Amino acid sequence: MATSFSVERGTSGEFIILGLNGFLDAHTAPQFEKAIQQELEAGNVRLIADCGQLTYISSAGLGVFMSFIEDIRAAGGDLKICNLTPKVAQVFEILGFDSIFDMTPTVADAERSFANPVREV
Amino acid sequence: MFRSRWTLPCVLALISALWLASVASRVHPAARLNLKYDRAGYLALGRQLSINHGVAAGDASGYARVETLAKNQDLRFMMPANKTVQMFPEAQVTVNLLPAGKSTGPRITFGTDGHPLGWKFPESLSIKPAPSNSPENAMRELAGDDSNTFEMANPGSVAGATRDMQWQHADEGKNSTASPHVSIDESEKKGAVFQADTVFTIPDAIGKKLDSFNLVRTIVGPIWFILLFAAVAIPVLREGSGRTARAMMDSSARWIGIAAALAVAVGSMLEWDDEVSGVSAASGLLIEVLGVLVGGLIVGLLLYAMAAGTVLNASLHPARARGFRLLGSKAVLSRTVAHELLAGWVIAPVLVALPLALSLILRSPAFRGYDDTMLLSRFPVLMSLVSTADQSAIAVVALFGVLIPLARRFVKRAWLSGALAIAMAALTLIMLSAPFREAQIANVTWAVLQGCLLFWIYSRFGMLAAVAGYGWAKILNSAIVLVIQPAAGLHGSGQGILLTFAALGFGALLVSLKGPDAVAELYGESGVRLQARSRREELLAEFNVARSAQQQMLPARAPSLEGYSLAASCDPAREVGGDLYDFLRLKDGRLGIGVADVSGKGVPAALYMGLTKGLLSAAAQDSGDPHYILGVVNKHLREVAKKKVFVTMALGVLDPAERTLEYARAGHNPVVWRRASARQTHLLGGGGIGLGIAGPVLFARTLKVETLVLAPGDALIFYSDGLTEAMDELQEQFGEERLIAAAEKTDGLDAGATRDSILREVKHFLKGGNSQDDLTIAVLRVNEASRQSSSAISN
Repeated sequence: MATSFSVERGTSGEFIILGLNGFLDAHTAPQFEKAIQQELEAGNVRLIADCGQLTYISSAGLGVFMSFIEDIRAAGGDLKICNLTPKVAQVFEILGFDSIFDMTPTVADAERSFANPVREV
Repeated sequence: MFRSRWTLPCVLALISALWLASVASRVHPAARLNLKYDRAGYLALGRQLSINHGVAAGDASGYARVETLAKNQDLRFMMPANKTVQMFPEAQVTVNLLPAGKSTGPRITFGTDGHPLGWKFPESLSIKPAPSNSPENAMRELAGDDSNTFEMANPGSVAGATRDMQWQHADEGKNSTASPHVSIDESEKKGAVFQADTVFTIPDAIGKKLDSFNLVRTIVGPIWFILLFAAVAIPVLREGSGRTARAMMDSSARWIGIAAALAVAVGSMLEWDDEVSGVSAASGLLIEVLGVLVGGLIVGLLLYAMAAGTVLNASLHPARARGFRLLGSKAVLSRTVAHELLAGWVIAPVLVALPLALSLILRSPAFRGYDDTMLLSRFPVLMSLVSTADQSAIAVVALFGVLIPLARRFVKRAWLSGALAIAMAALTLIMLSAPFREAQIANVTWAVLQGCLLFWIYSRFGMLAAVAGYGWAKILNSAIVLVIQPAAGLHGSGQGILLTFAALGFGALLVSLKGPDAVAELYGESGVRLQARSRREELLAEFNVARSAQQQMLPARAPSLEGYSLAASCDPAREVGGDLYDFLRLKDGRLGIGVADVSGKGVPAALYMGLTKGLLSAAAQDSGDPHYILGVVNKHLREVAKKKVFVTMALGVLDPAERTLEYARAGHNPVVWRRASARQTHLLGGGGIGLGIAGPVLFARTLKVETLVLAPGDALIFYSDGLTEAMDELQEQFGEERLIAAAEKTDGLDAGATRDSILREVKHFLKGGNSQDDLTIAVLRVNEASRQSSSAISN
């Protein structure tokens, strides 16, 4: 099946909110990669991935989160994941992402979690 | 392309087409319309009648419309001996004229033979009194040859400036069913007849009987249609926010939906109104065109898009919705679309012939199944094409796009879901049109047969084929309705539609033979089109070598171990895959069992699969500690894969003598532990990040190693997510619950039989389809008679 995916960019104060929409898999992962890359190039490192509309994530999609997290944290920022649907949350948890990323129920919680100490990778 | 699935539809189509060509002009119900004139002819009659009554209409433009009078048809059928009832016309032609320079004009109604049924001249027109313009003459014009049998019933009294005069049939007395009725202008126009009608009065007793005919359709019909449209709307609404709905619809369906919604908004303001008489010729034309386009096509498209979006995105039945979905994409001219359109085209003659044949077999003169909207249209060919996209098409889309897939999803027994689907199809069709009037048994028979046919085409070719078949049949029927009319102009238009029908079918045939295979482009995961056949074959051969090389990396067979049985298998979704399993003989005499899954698919995953296998073997040489083994693999993978790829792994280390298993999970799906004697089944969770993701410190800190004490009869089932995420044709996943249920059925079986039993369950679930992902499973079973003794591992 052809898949549909989009990233909607929004801001909330100093935070950049990336709203992920649809299927994040091997075909669509480059879009997400590009979106994060653009933020990093613009010096935006306090990022929140709003996964409320993310219906599916494959290992390639998970790889995008993984491949940037160190750079983001090295630059003094962080990438928070919030608003996961139960099915997608299970994928993150099985893979152990809850040890690496702050995963919160809402965007507001994600914003507050920037006060937490940055986790190691 | 003409494989066996085409043979039977083609044979049926050929028989139907030949039969139609030979008998349609005699048995088709539209032959009774018997239109003597074409559009220009009726307009000319209208001008002549206006001139005769003193209205200067020689240069008037205008439009004409034919209208089937179903109630009159019913009456004539019910009371064949009643001469008065037999006067009731089966159809009438309404002509609206607009004299040059006027803003309003005459409206005249004719029988299809050209005999006037009534007229109305707007008061703003100047009507010259003429000798022929007397009320008596008007009555004679309306009553025709029977005028002598009518007598004045009411000489009328002057109300305002007009006088109403009525005549009635001498034989019928006060219960007359047809009576000429004339209004004249008494004051300013001095006797000019500006309105005349033939009033057909249906006696009460007959009227009640007629109404009861439609009771079923008037009550059951709306309820069923509300259900149908709810079927389309509810899945969309249930998804909640507009954002979700947007994400649900793919881009092509979205654009059709937006365009359609806009057009409906415009169109609702410009709805076709058959009472319009005072419109200019230009706006009359505009209204006709917009009425056609907006009333039919656009509303159809809107719901098409909704239905398509619903079907596709709720993923009820992706394979059968594929052609339909491509309609809104750049691949509209692809083979997939053309195939389905062609299948619908082929079946169209059968769909048209079916009710005709049935009416002959049942000897039912009650049959009426045709569309009259295109008959006197300015653009009969266009109109016949556009009429396929009216609300009945929406209903058919809702039926095949949502209801039938839903039925097939929730009703597992094939025969039951098939019967349910046909019943729903029949109910929808009978609500759309019950062409046998009061002959309900014939209607039901017709609807079930047509439902079977459409469902058959839907099952063989897809949803687009069924919807298109319904549409094609309407076009073909329009052509026949026109061709069998006596008027030469209408006959010619019918031939035009037939030619268009043939040309479109030929176009579909050409595209389905020579067109681009856009499906591979849109749906193929690689997006690479291999055009050169030889190059393709070469690559396939290389992949086969790679596949067998990869399979050879896996243990040829499971080691045999006293007191235990072991079995495993790995089935890549493509030529090569990223899954692996391994049995590791450890230095301390224990046995490692690992199942791993590399992120991604295909060749890149396969390369990392080889690497992971090597790292695992090497680490297992040094130590049997799961912590150590997984730590080493994680460290090296992280260095090599540079965060682009990761691997998940479940690793168990069995101590055969102690009957214990040390178990760790590095981001992998939890292993199933079936405790047969305790009749319990667990999913072994526990912390652990996928390999290659985290640094050594974090990885080690999160990895939990658990020790299980096994009992005789226990089984451990290691698997990759390809097993739990295997999807059936309705996009439902096999899932952990089914896996647990499958595991619970295997008590008492050895490892090999357990594996086979679970794979059988998956295969049964997939219903012959293929898993989209690599599918790997490894099973360890503690024998029932297992003794705690020193076991030796041997190959």
